[in-house]
Amino acid sequence: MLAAHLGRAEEATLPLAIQVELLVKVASYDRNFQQRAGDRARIFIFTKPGNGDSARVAAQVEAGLGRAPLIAGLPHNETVTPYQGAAELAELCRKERASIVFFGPGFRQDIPAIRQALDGVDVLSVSAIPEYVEAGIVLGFDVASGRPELLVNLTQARRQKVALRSDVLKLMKVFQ
Amino acid sequence: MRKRIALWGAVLVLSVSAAASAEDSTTDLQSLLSETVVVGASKSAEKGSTAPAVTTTLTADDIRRYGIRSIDEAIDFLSLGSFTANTLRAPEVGSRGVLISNDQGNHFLLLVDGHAVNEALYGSARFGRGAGVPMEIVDRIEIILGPGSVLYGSSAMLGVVNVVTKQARDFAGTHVIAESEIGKSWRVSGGGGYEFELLRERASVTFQLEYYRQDGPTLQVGPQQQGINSYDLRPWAFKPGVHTGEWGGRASHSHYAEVPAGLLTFRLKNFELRLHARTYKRAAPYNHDFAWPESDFDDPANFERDRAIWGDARYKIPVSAVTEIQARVYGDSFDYQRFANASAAGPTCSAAVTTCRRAASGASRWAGSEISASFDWLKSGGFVTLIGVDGRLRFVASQLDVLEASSGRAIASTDSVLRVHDKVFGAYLQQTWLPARWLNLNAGARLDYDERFGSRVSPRFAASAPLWEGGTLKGIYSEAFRAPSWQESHSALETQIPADNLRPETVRSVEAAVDQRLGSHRLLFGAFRSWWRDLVELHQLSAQEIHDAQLAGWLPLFTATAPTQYRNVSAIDNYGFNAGYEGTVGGRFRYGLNGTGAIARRGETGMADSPLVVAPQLFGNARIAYDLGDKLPTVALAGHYQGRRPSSRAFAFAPPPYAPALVELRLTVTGPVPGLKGLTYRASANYAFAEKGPYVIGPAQSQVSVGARNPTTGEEETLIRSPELIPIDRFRGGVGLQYDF
Repeated sequence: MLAAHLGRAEEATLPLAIQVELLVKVASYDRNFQQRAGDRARIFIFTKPGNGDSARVAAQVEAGLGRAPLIAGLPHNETVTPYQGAAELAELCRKERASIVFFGPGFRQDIPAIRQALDGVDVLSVSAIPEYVEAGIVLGFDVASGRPELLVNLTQARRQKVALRSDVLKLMKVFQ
Repeated sequence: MRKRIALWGAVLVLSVSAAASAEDSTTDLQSLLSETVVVGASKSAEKGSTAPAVTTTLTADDIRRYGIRSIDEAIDFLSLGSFTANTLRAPEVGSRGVLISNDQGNHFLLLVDGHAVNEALYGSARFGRGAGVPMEIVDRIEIILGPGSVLYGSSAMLGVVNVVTKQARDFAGTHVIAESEIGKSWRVSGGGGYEFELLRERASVTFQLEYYRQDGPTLQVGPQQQGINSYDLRPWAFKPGVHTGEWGGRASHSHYAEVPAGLLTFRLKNFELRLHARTYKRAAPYNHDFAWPESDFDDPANFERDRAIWGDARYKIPVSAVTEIQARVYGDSFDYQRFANASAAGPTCSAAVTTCRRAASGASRWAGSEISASFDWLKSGGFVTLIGVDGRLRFVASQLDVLEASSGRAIASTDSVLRVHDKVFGAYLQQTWLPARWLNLNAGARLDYDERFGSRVSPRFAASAPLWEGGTLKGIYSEAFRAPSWQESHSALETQIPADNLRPETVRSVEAAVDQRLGSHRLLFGAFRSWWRDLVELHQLSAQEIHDAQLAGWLPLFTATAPTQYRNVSAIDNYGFNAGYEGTVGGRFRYGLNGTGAIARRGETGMADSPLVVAPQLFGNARIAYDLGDKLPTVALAGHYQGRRPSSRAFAFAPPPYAPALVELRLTVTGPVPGLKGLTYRASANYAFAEKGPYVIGPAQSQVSVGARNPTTGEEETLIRSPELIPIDRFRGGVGLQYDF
């Protein structure tokens, strides 16, 4: 149990229910989303082994996404899976044709490797932890001055073929 | 009237629709991004629209944009449903047509990052500059209207004000600020937010220190004729050796304030430590019964001072996907001093002493711990139980001394001595349940135990239903209480007998609200009804009660002043509506409009119902701002309105004095200083369209001065006096610079 406590280093500042709602809406503004997903959006939610908070966030995100009838107009399924490593992540994205990969807390040390592994992989990477966006996750969420804030790493978005509309980018805090 | 209200409602809804449709196709996203996030309503972050209370979030951006410098200004210019009144010492706060004058803020619970600030001796909390909360470090101020004891216990009767400070990344770097209200006040401040590695983990420190000093403005008050002092049969003296019987003049030495303060937050993984310290020294050129009516006029040595320091450490333990535990320990220390020089002879100040110095002092210290656990049973956030226990040990003390001003020698025995330790305990349970996508339920209760009056249960039931796109219906039933302060329950003076079996004040409230969002526009309308019972007030004893108290030895056999006792005296019935409309157009133009209409009537056995003093029945605010873009400034205009309202401290005037309606406007310009990267400015001009506020000042607090003598003839006569209302500082202009490293 103590190991689980020590595994927690970061916190989702925006309530997960709002994050899920925002994610569902933002996905519909990604011009490549339908092409990437095909007939179904496949969403993988990663947990950090040994991190209780990561499991808690993953469960809530899975439940929240499960309540959305469609994502970007497509039926969808969510899979919670333990994180094995960056190479395995990239392999899974290619093999399973992942549309979205979601990371909760506990991945701070892994983000540089994830960013590198996902270069050139057609997938929308998302995190509940705002700090991860600057480090290489495409989309994240924060609270600024009491209101939700969308964060986007534009450089990484291009590398992962995520093409958000310009009018949506205007609503986001952009990291290059 | 109903047709007119319906018409205005339709106009508002149509204009929301029109404004939203004028925007681009990201309306649904903008609607979500315009949601507020509140943590104070249920001790967890959630959407404001579905939170179990009507809330407004006053953001850091708006605080800067509209030239806000303190919590009370934020409440007046930006909030929905609450308002303040300026006593020139510490502002009083009210909500939805109810304000309890002279309560020292003890009917509103003030939280700083979830730490309750109200202390036990007076129940006081400061909402003005004296709060010692630098505005630059504030991320948002959440105003949670209505009874809130369900999670927080005593004092949350009118509502809860939760000041949330910035995370280090939102306050990154070092910031220095200097600003001045020209000719009246100045402030210097410095702070920063830093993230670093510590013990191989990410840590952060956020802090801000400030020093605020106000001198003036000089006020012209009086003159008021007080006649002959019956203790020495000479005209009253309001200055040493000056027996003119006259109070007032130019007050140029006795209107000041000084607030050094600092706030620090340290975070390491799941551990958070917060420290806050402040002192608040202030003086105001008026006398009233609450602060000794006979004190000398314009004497700078007449002042009040708070000193407060607290620490709060908390640790979160995410046990599993279902369970999270949080442990918290905290400790607070609060001291209060009030000094007044009085050159008029009185019951404790003989004519042989030129000037007496009264010194009232109080202390309140407490330490406690809180442990809470949340259980997300379905691992989806859909059925979450929160339980917690909070226990604290408290020490309170107070005393009153009378000294010779020139020598500091005691000239009377110490009076009103109180030294006591006690324990209070609270346990709470909250259950949230989302049985369907369109329904959120929240029910909870808190049990509070106080050694003085036993236990009290405060329940809350709330349901919110996002039934249609952007629209949410909400219904809430809630109760709250306020434990009598130790000063009310146990203080005794020569002319005040101790209270006997005081009960806690209670309030019950039902309310309903509809919240509609369209793009970045929001419309809210709500109606409420609340019932207040057992309000604690000083009761003036009848002749029979005086006789009984004398027999019991509580009062001396001869007493010149009407003796009093704190009792559960009155009740308030209160109902009304709140309406708010806010949004942005094109990302650059922002607007907001809030209004409240409320009826509040005070009832007391054997007396006719009456309106509440200081509390307006109609009040609100409006604001607009335009960001000129790029390196150009943002121009903002904000105003607030308070309707005509009865004055406080008017004890026997016919007709009772009313303060005129108040409109206050503030124009603020903010922006970067051209050519100097990191340097920004803020300039504002503030104008109040009223000269007087709702407090009677000076010793003339009743129309007739009993036993007064004509200062010229020396013959006993009845002085018929007019009430004088507190002056308002009408024009203030300020400039400030901030440099961000």
